[in-house]
Amino acid sequence: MVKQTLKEISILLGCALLLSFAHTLLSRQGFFAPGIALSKKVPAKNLELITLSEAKDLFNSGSVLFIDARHEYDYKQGAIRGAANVPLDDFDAHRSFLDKIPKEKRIVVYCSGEQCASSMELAAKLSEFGFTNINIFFGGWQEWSSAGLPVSK
Amino acid sequence: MVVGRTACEQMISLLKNTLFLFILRLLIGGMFTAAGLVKIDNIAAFEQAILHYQLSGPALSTLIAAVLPWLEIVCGLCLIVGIFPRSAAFILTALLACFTLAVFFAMVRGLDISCGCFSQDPNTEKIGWLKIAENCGLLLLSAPLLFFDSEKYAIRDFLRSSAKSKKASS
Repeated sequence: MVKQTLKEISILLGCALLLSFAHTLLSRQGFFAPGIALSKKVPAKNLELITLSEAKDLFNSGSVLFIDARHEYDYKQGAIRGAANVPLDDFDAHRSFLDKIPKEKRIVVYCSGEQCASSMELAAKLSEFGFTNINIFFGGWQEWSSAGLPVSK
Repeated sequence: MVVGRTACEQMISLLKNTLFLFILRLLIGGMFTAAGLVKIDNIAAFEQAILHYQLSGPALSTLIAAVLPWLEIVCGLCLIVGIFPRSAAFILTALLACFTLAVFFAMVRGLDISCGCFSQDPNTEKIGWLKIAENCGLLLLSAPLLFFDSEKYAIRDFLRSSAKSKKASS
């Protein structure tokens, strides 16, 4: 009885593991999210990935606008100091804010970290919106906060 | 004394009732399947919901976010159609117990977060005593599936009976 139950549990767990592996691989989510496997350049010509040190240099230059692609809730919990929040799911509600920013302004987009793809999706939307100088900081909030760099809470 | 024993026996006979167990299978299985389907739609958002509990690091959260929805779907569907119902119920009950503990620990630490159960919006489905009561209720409902045979109205029975009727007609 116990042996049979253990066998059945193993089968169910195995099925779930196989399906999750196939699903994340095919939909490029989780461990297969673009942030992990992507090369230095993103397909669109005006989007470029940057590292933590590059993001830090741009932050220190003071001439760059950081945009947080996470949900408002996460943004309020903590964000890169001075960053604006444009949640990917709520892009349309921020159009008037984005209209006020010069299109040639250098923008750094980020989200939670390497596992999330919303920074790239937001960057693509910003590019469509007319911005010409966009960087994606894939290390995101996790890398920035772990490094003890300036944050706002 | 005799009255108490009769009530107890009646309760046990209700819990053993195949139709009652079938309804429980549909309820618990359907609920977990729906919850899993909501999560696989946006794994990154579910991963965020897990991170909000502050119980696991990014790598473990990514793994949980990828596997858990499929475990819910597989076990939920198995429970509905009656494939390995007791084992599926065992896994889902264990998951429910873990979820309840996670919610409880988050509440104890004063976290104001979303449950992440049926919606990935951090502003909805906030954790609280109501969520814990809801989970405890579901735990109680899933318990009979662990102790009593609920293989009636299973797909196996259906296939067996259709094969028998085919044999009889030929």
